Amino acid sequence: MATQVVARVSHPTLPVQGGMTGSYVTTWDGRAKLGIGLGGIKYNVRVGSPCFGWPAAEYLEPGVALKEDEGKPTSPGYQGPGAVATTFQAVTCIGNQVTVASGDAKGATGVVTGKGRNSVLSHFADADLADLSIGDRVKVRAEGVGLELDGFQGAVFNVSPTFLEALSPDVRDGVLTLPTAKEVPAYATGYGVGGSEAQRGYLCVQSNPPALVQELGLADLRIGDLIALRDTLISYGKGYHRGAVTVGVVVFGASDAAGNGPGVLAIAASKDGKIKPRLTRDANVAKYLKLGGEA
Amino acid sequence: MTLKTNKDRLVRAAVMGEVNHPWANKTYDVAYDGSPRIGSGLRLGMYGLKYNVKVGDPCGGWAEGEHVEPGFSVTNPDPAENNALALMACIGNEVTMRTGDAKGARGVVTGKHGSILVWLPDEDHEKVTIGDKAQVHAWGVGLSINGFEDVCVHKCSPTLLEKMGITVEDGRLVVPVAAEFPAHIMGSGLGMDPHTVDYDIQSTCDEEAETLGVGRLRLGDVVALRDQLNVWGRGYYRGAVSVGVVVHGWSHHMGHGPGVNTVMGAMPGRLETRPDPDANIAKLLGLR
Repeated sequence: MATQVVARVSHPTLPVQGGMTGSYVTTWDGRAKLGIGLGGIKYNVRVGSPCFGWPAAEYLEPGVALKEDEGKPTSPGYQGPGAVATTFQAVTCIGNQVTVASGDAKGATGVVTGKGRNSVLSHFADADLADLSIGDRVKVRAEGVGLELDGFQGAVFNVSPTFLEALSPDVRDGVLTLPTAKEVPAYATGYGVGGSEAQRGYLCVQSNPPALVQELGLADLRIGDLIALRDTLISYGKGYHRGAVTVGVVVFGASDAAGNGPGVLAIAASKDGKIKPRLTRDANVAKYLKLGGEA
Repeated sequence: MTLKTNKDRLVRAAVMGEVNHPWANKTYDVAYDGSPRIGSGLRLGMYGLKYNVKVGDPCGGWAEGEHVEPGFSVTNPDPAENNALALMACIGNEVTMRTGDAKGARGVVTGKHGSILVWLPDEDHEKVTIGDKAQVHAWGVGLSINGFEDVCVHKCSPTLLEKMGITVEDGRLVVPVAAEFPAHIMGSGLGMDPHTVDYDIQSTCDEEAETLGVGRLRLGDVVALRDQLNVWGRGYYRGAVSVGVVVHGWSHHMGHGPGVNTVMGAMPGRLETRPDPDANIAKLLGLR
């Protein structure tokens, strides 16, 4: 089913730790950091940009972050405030078309590239970015919930049919092969373990201390990269499962806060390891959506 | 030898909360295996008062139990005051009931989950009514061990620290623990703040939980977490060791399980462990 959901171009926010207020993030090594990058419009950060190396950035989200204005998503099925926001985030998929419905950029089209912290992330051409205003209304043609791959017993989610096809998924003897740029072991997953179902929220790959980044070979990780999570199962929740494989998309950049780092949105998962990651250095959403640029 | 600390320099203050009520906003919730569970929907065992679960009891095995909290649970209805209660109350702090039929009864803080968790002697526990006010003699924020100022001590009263049987050998703290866990099994609560909230030893991969002995854990067990650093936040750090207390029980939510309030976080080479099946705060604090 293809359906319409609407949202607005969001305003940037500062990360908040532990439900408290305050401008600074405490880094893993005890520094106070003003971290920017959540929400809003980024003119020079896009899918394909590096996860690391942006001064003062925390949870750097690429392109245009869209939010439904009824506030923070809550539990599925809950019909009070936030129910629309929850639905907006749950049904949008990577590859869905976004159309600007108000403001100077009205009529411009972009594409969903991921889901961030309470937001859906989208890419627009530079010329349209210049015309966009915070608060502009957008509509998304939501399509992808319920998608299945013939012969694959695991789950596929958060992808439009066209995006999935662009990945050239190969199913043989029940095993799904997908291109991935990196692999990450379970001990390096952080914030987001224990989080909600696969369609909402994210799972962080820890990006500190620096020795861990070096050990995992993640220094050149890019926003939009497809990565494989070993012994991690994202389906009815997010957590450790021996032998499982989850493939996801890196949706935002690095963090200096302990246990935090680039967020991963799952696109396929197999409890019994029936996903075979195929190492592909340039496996990035920007390539498969043909967004051009450095990717 | 007795550890020397700065306990005489710590601020001692009162914080207060009320015995809270269980609550729910759905009937069923989806468990890790996709099955709907009523206990997970209403979080059976979280919040409120349990008549038959106290610190020292098993973490798992409670029918439909979800994050079961021992004793009773206390929060302050004002969000900012509740933050102060959460930050200031430490495991081992004395609690005095200030209202209700149990007024004057004295107990102990046994952990911090969503609520501050409180133990009272059985005869007083029976008298408690939901809504009763409990005041905590908060003592512990800022605690440090002389010569080990780099080891972060948090959520731990001097009372508990002194009763944990910690020794110093070859320039390292040696802490008796009931169990140890590797980094990959740590789940919900990663990336969050060790001063305010626990994090979970995942009980949702049956094979791994069996291998690591998660099912043998008891509420109140002192445990060590390998390659986990709990100082400025919490996360993976090769060679670091964190020590904590198991504060709540088993879960069926993916990535959740028995929760640990860490009480010490140490960089590599500063803290070692010694196996001790009796390392449980119920025993250490003389609660059973």
